[in-house]
Amino acid sequence: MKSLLVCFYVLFVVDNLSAQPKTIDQRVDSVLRLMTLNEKVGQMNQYNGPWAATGPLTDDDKLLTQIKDGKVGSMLNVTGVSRTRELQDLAMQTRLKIPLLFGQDIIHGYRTTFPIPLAEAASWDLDAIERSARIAAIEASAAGVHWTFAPMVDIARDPRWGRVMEGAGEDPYLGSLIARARVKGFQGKGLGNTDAVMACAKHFAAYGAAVGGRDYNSVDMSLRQLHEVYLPPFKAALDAGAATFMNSFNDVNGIPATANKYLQRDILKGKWRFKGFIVSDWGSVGEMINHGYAKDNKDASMLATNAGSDMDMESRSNIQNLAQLVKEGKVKISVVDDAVKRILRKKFEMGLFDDPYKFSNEAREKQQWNNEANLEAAKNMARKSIVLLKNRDQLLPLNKKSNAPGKIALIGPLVKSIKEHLGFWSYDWPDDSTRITSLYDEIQKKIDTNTKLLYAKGCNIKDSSTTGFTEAINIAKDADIIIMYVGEARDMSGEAKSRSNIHLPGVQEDLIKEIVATGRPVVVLISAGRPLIFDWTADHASSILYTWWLGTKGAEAIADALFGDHNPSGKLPMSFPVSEGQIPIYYNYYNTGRPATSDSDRFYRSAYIDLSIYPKYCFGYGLSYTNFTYSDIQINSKSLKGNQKLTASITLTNGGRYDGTEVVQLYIRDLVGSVVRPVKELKGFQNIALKAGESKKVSFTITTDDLRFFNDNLEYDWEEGDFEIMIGGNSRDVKKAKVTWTK
Amino acid sequence: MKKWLFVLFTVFVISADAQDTKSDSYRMKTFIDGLMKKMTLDEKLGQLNLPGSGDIVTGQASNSDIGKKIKEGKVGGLFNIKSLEKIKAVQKVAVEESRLKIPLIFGMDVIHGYETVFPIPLGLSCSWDMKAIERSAQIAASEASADGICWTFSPMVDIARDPRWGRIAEGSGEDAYLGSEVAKAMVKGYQGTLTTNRNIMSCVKHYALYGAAEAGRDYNTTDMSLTRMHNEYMPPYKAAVDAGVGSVMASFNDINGIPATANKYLMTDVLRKQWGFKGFVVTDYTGNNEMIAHGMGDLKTVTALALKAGIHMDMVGEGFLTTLKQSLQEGKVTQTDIENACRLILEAKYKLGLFANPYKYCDESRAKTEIFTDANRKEARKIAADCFVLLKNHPLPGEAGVGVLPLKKSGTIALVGPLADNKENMPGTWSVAANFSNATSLLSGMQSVVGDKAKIMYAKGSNLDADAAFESRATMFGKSLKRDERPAADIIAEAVNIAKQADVVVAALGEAAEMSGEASSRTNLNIPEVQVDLLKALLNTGKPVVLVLFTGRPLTIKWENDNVPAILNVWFGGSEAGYAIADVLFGDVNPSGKLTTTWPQNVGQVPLFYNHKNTGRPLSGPWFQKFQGNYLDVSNEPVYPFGFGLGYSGFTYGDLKLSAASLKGNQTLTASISVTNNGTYDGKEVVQLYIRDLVGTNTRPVKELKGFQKIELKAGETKTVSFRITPNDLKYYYQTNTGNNNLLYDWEAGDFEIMIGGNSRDVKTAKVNWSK
Repeated sequence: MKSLLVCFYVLFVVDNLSAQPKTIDQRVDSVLRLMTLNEKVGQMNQYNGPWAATGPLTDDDKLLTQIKDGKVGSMLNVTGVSRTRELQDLAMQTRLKIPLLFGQDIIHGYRTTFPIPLAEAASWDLDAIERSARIAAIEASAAGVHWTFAPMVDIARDPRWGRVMEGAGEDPYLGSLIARARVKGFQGKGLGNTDAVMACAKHFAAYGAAVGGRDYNSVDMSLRQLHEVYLPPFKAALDAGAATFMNSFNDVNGIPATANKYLQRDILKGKWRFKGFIVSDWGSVGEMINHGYAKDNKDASMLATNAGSDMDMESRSNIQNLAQLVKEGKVKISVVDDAVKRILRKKFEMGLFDDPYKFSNEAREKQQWNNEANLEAAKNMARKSIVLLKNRDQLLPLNKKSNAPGKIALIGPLVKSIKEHLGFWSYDWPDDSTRITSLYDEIQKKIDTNTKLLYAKGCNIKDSSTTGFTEAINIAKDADIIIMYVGEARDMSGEAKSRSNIHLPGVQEDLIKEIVATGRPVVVLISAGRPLIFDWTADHASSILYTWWLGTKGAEAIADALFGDHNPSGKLPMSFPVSEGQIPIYYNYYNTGRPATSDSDRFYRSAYIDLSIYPKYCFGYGLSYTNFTYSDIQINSKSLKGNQKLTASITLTNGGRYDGTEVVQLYIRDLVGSVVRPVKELKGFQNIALKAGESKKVSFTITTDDLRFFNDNLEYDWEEGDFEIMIGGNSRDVKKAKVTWTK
Repeated sequence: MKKWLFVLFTVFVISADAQDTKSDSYRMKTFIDGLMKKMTLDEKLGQLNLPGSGDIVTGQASNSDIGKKIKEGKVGGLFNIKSLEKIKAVQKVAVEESRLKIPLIFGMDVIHGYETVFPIPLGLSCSWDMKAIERSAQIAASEASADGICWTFSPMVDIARDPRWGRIAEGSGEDAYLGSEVAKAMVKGYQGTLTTNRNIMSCVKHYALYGAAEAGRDYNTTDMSLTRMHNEYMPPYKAAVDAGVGSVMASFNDINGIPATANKYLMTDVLRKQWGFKGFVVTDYTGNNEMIAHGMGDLKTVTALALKAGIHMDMVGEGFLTTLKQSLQEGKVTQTDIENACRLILEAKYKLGLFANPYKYCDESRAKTEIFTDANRKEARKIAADCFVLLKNHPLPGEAGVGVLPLKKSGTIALVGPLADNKENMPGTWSVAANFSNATSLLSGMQSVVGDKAKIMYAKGSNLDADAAFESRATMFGKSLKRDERPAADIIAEAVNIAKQADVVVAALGEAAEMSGEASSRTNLNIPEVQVDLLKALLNTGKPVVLVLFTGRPLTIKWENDNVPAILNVWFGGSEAGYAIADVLFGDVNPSGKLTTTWPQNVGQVPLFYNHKNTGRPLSGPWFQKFQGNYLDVSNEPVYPFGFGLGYSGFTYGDLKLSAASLKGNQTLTASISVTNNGTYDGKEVVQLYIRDLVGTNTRPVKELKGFQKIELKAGETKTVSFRITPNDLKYYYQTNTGNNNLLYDWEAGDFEIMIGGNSRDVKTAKVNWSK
C-alpha cells in the first residue's frame, strides 16, 4: 500500500503538467525536490530591508545579489507597494522563482494607529480588538506586507519591563482571549485572502518574566508556572490558527528560547502540533554566543535549527553555516527539509506562488491610505481603552454647553503633543502633524464660545525644571476647572525601555501638587505605556483618566470621555503598584501560609512593615460615570458532580444617571489543591451595556473545564473539592458563593 | 529483579550492623528498639510533638498545662525557654512522671550568640573568616548549653538576593559558595563532635528556598527551575548536611506550588536519598497548620501530607499529635511512617546523651560561670570588628591621600543619630537570649575607647522615622529608641549645634534592629527620610562627617555614597558592638569586612546580584545603550558590588599567573597573584577567586565565587596568594535540552575565565582551556 502511494506520488510530482489540482503539501514537496541545499538554507534566512533610513536602495552589503542568488527567504521592514515589488522582482530572477515573504512589526496599526496593545486590552472588548487587528492587516497587506510580527502575547507581571505596552497584561485567561482575537483579526478569513496577513505569536516563551523587569534578561521558573501562567496565550494563538511563532531573546531556565528544544520541538511542534514555522527574534540566533550557549555563529545555527527555529532573522548564522553543518552531519537534511517545507507551505497558503505581487497593489494601497471607516474604528477602540480611575463628586463628565465652566485651564506637557499619541511601535508619517490632533485642539472643538481655554505647559516630561510652574499656577487660579495631561514620553516604554523607577517622570507630580493646592477641581489625564506610580495624585486629584497611548484618534477619544460623549468602561489589565518595592504584584497570587487579611494585619504575616501589600488599583479595576451595583450571586446548584454545568448569575443594575457599559468579571478559586492554587483566577467576563436605571441578569456557565490546572506532574485536569465563585466589577470587589464539585 | 535486589540490600545492611555489636550505632539501635517496643502509638506520636511551652511557673511545672502533657507522654521537646531552673523542672517531670521517662529535647533560636551576642549572621558572613564564624557558634553553643539548651534552630542558610526580605539579616547573603562555607563552619561550631555538654545539636534552616520569597515579602511563594534551585539555593543546605547537621527545619514557603512542609521531593528525594541525611526534620513554627492557609487541605490532610513527605516533628501546631492516629486508621499514613519519625527523634536524643543523663545540659555551676564571660565578650568584640565593612573613606578636600577614618583620639567629636546612644538595638534581630541591658551603646563604646583623650558630645539628631506608628513597629520587643516628641527641626538643630563645635561628626544612622528579621520586609530600602534630613544638615555644617550605618540588609545609599566622605557599615554588631565600632573608628582595628550581598542603587533594580547570566544582549558599553539590557533611568551597576569592602590600607593586585593555559581531565590548575599592602596600616584582605565557564550546556553566570583567602599583610608587605583549582570547581547542575527533569552534575570541557580580586567587580582575569 505504502509503495503504491509512493509510486503515485512520484508520478504526480513528475507530471508537472497534470491538470489535477494538487494539495499544498504536494506542491511544497514538488518545489522542495527541485531545491539545492543552498537554496533550502536561503529560505531559512531573513534580512532587514536594504533601504537606508531615508536614502535610496543600495547594495552595499550585496544583499540584492543574495536575493537574486536565492539566499533570502524573507525580508522584514520592507513596506509599500513599490518597494515590495522591487524586491519581489529580484526573487523572480532566482532559479526557482520562490517568492519572498515581507514581514513587518504591525503591532497596533499601520497607517491608522490604534491604541497600544496594553490599552486595547483594557477595553476587554474582544470584537473591537479583533477589528483593530483586522484593520491593521487590511492596511498593511495593501502596502505589500504579508506577515506581521504580532500578536505579542507575553504575560507580564512586572511594569518595569518596557514591553508590557505590547502585550495584554498579567492574566493568562484574558491574554489568551486577546491573543485569539488578534490572530483572527490579522488573518481574517484565512491566509490566501489579499487582506489577510500572517500572524506571529511572540515571544515564545516567557519573555515577560525577565529578571528585574530589565529587557532581555534571564528567565527562570518552574515548568508548572510556565505552563500555568505563561504558555496559555501561545496555545490560544495556535488554536486560532497563528501561522507563525517567534522565539524569544531570553533564556528559559538556562537554555535560550531560540535553541530551546523543549519549547519548540517538544511543546509547540510536538504536543501542540504546530504546522507553521518559527522565526527567530532579531539576531537571537547569533546572540546565543553572548548567552554563553553557543561557541560561535556556526554552533548557534546548529543549536537553533536542531531545536526547531526555522528562520534566522538577521543573525546570518544560517546562511553562513547551515549548508556546511548539513554536510558535516551536524544538522540532518530532514531537519532542514522540515523547516523549508514549513516556510514554503505558508508561501503557498498566502498564494504567493500563484501571484508573488498579489499584495503589492497600488489601487488598494491608495484606497486604504486614509480610510474613514478605519479611522472611526480607531476612535472607537481608543474610547473603549480609556480607564476612569477616580471621579470624586462626579466631577466628570464636563458639561459642554449650559452650565459649562467659564474657564478651563489645560496644563501639562502632553496637552499640545501630537505624535506622542501614537506610542511606541507605531509608524511616523510625513503628514502626521496635520492629520493627528492634540488634546488642546479637541477640547477646543467641544466647547462653545462662552468657555475660555487657558493653557500652560507647566513642565516637560522628563527634566527637573520648574520654571513653568508659576505660569501654570497662575492660570489654574484663574480657572474654574483644571485639566492636566501628564505621563511618560512615548519612547519610555517599548523594547529596551525598562525603567527601575515607574513614577510619573520628572517634576510632573510636583506640578500636580502645586495645581491641586489652588483648591480648584483638577482632572488628571495620564498617558503611558505601562502602569505608573502616582500615589499622591491618586489620593488628591479630583478625577483621573488613564489614557495610555491611544493612537491616531487618541485626542478625540479623550475629549469624548472628558465631555461625556463616551462613558468610560475600560478596566485595568494589570495591577498598579503603590511602589516599585511591591513588584511583582498581581491579582492571582497564592495565599501563602501566613496571609495578611488587611494592612493592619502585619504581625508575623506576609506583609511589609512600611507599606500596603495591596496595589493602588487592582486588576480589572475601572469606574464609569454611572454607578453599577451587583446583587448577590445566584447559583443553580451548591454541589455538582462530574460534567454538570454550574450557572452563576448576578443582577447588574445601572443605578446612575448615564448609560454605560460594565465589564462583569467571573473569578474562581479552587480552595484546596494537590498544588497551591491562586486566590482567584479570571474565568469569564461579559461587557454589559445598560441604560441608566436598567437592570439585567448576567449569567455565566461554568464547567469543569474552567477548573483545570497543571498539577505537579504537569497533567492538566481538575480536582474535586470546594470552589469559590466570585463575580464583580474588578478583582477586589466581588460577590462570592461556594460550591462543591465532585468527580 | 528489583525486588530481589532490595531484599539483598536489606539483608546486607542489617547484617553489617549486626556484625559490629560494639558500635555506637548498634548500641543506639538496640536501645531504641527496646524502648520503642514499649511505646504505645500515642507515646510515639508524643515524641513528634514540639509544643509551645506556655508559661512555666517555677515550682509548679508538674501541674502546668504543659506539665500534664509531658506526664502523658505527649511532648517530645520544648523550645525558647530561657531559664535553667524551668528547663530542669520540666525535664524532671518528663523523666520522673511520664510512663517511659523519655527525656525532652530543649531547643532555642540561638541565632548569633546566646547572651554574648555576635553580629547578625549577615554581618558575620562579611568577616569571610570561617574560623571566627565557627568560634562564634562554639561560644553560642557553650553558653546555651550551660543554660539547659541542647538544640539550636541555626544556622539559617537561605540564599537571598532580595534586600526587601527582612530575613536576609539572618543568612550569609547571596552566594551559594560562601553560604556553604559559612553553613559548615556554623554546624561544626555548634555541634563539635556532640560528645561534650558544651556542644548542642544544630538545625539547618529554612529548607528550602525561603530566601527567594517573591517580591521580598516574607512567607511568600517561591518558584524556580530545578537547575537554579540546585546551583544557586541548595548548596548551603547540602553543606550543612555534609557537615553532619543533626536536624533540618522545613520552610514556610511553597516551592513551585507545594509547601516545603509537604514537599516530598525536597524532604525525601533530595534530602534523604540524594544527600543521605540521617537526622530528623522539624516544621517551622506552626508550619504544618499553615498549609491549611496554603490551600492544601484541613489539618488532618496536611499533617498526613507532611509526615508522608518526610517531616518528623511538629512545632507548636499539634497536628501530628491530634490527627495522625485517625490518618493511620484511614490508611493515609502507615505505622512505619510514624515509627520512622519517632525513631529519628529518639536517636537525636540518644546522640545528645540525654538518655544517659537527662540533665547533661543542666549544670548550674556552668550556668553561673560560663555565660557572658569576659573571655566570650572579648571574642565577640574582636569578631564584630572584623564584620564591619568600610564602604567609603575619602580624604577631605585638600587632604589628599588621607581618609577621614580612622579618627584621632583627640579633639572634639560630635556623635549624632537615633542609634548612637542605644543599647537595646545593638544585638540585632533574633537575639532571644540577649540581656539588652548588658549591651554597649556606641556612645559608651567610644567613651571607653578614647577615655579622656577626646571630648565626645552627643545629640540624638532625629527619630528613627517621622511616622511614630512605623517606629513603634520597628522597635518592638523592648528595643525602643525612646522617641523624641519635639519637632524634627528642633531635634536636628540641637545636633547641628554640637556638630559645629566638633572637629568631626559621627552620624549613627540607619535601621532599628527590628526593621529586618522575620516578617520585617520593606519596600523602601532608603535610610528613613528624617535621618537623611539630619545627615544633610550635618554635611551642611562643612565638618567632616562619618556615617556609621546600622542595618540588617543592603540599603539604597547612592546619595549617601556620593555625598558623605566616610561610611562604615556596622550591621548590628551584637552585645559588644559599641566597643567594636569604636575600635574600628579610632583605628585600633583596621576594618577588613567584605559585603556578601550586592547593594543596589534603587529598589527598582532588585534583584541585583553579581553572579547573573550574561544574556544575549549584555550592556556592551557605558550605560545607556539602545537595544541592550539596561534600564532607561539607572545603570546596571550596584552602589557596592558583592565582595566589596575597604580597609585603612589599600591593597594592590599583581598580574594573575596560571600554572597552565590548557589542562586535561583531573589535572590541577594553580592560579597565583601577588597582593601588596600599599598603605601605612597593617591589614587583612579577602582575596577572592571567581570562575566563569564561557560556554555551557546551560547558560552560565558571568562569574562565580570558587575560593577565597583572608590574608594578613603588614604595611608595605607583599604576599603571593595561590588557589588550586580542580574540575570539581567547574561542576554544576544542568539539564539537557529535552525538558525532562533529570539533573546532571558535572563539568564540561571548554574555556574558562579565572578571576582574582578584592571584590567581584575589580578582578584580574586569565583564560584557560580545560578538556576532558
